[in-house]
Amino acid sequence: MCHFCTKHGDGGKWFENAANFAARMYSNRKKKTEKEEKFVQHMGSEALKIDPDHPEKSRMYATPPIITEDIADNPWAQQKMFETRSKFPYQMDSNGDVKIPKGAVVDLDIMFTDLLKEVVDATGVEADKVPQLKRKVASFMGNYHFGQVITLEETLDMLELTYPIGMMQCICRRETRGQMAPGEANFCFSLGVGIYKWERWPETFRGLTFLSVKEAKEMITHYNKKGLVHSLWTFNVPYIGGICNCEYPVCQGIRGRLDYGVESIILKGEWCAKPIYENCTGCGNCVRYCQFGAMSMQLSRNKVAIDMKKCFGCGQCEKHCPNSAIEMVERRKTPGISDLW
Amino acid sequence: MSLMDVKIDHEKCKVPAACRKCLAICPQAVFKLHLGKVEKYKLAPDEEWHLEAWYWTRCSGCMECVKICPLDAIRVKKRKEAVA
Repeated sequence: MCHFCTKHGDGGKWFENAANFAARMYSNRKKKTEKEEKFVQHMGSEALKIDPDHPEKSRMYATPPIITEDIADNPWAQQKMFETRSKFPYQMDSNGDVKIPKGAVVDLDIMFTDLLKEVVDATGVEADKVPQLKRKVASFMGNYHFGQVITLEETLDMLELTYPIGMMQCICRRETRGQMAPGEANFCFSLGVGIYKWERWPETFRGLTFLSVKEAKEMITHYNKKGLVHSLWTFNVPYIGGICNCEYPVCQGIRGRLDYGVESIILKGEWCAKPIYENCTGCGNCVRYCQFGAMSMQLSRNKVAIDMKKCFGCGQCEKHCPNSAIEMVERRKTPGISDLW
Repeated sequence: MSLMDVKIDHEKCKVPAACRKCLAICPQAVFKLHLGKVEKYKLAPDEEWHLEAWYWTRCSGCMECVKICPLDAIRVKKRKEAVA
C-alpha cells in the first residue's frame, strides 16, 4: 500500500473510495479545504498569453495578492514564489514540496508539462540539478494530479461508480502526434460533475460526447482489445477526473516516468504479471502489447520473460495470451514488489 | 550520452498546427505542440499552437523530420560538447 492509498483510500484502494467521486463529497471537502489551499482551475476567463520567442514579454496573471493576516499562521505564505515557463505561479519549500498559492489561476496539465520540461532540459546537460527538478515534478503531481495504471476489470468497475462519463480527445496524442482533427484520437474519458462547466471552454471540452455506462464499457473493452493501457487520473488530488487509454511514447505521464524517471506521475497498478511457463508456447504475442518494456523472449527456452520489477500491472499481456500463460498477482501480496508503486 | 540539438526555424514554419508532419513521423515523439493562448468560448485557432522540440534529449538523430519538412525548417545536429 503506497502513501496515496493510506491518505485517500479510507482503508482500501484509493480509487474505490466513493468520497473521491461523489459530487457532494467533493463540494464538502472543497469547502473544508478552501481556506488553506484554494486555487482555481484555469477556465479561459482571461486570455492566457505566452510568447515563446519573448518570454520576458509574456503576460499572464498578476501575482496573487498576499493577504497579510494569513502570513502569520500559514508558513506557506512566506515561501518564495516561482513561475513555470507558462507563467503559472507556484511555491516551493526547502524540501522541494510544491504548492499552488491561494487564489492562483492555473491549468494543471500545462503546469505539469512545464515542470517536466525543466527536467527534460536539464537531463544530460546539468546532471546535478536533475534530482531536485524531479523531486519538484513528483511533489506537484503527488499533490495535485497523479495517475495510476488500472486493469480492465477495475476500469469497468470505476465506470459504474462515477457519473457523468464523457469521451474526449486525448490531449497527449493531440499535442505530441498532432492528431487534432475533430473525432481523431478520442481516447480519453472524463469523469465527474466538473465537466459540465467546460462547455464554456472548447479548448478543454475537446469535442466531448457524453456516454451511458454501457456505451463507455463497450468503448473501454474495445480499447483494451486494441492494446491500450487504462490509467486513472486525479485532478486536484484525490478527486478523480479521468480515465485515459495510454500508450508509450505519446502518453506524457508514462513518458515522464519511463524516460525521465519521475515516479509518482503515474503509479504502477495493483497487479503484476507473472508467467506460467507450462502454458507458454513462445508465440510472443504478449510482448507486442507491453507498453512499459517489461517483457522479452527467452529465445533459448522459447518462453516469455517478464521483468516483474518493471511491470506496471496493466494486464494487457494476460488479455492477449491465447494460452492463459500469464497470471496477474496482487502487488501488495508479493513481497519483492509490494513497495514498488 | 550523446545529445542532438533540434532546431526549428519559426520564421519558416509559421503555422505548424496546419502541417504536423514532423509530429507524425518522429519515432521518438520528440516534437510537441503547445498552446500559446487560451480564450473563453473559443477553440484555439491553428496560429496559437507553438511547435517545439520538447523532448529533444530523446532524439536519435534519424533525420526523418528534416527529410519530411516541406518548409525545410528543421535542423538536427549533434551536440559538440561532451556531457555526462
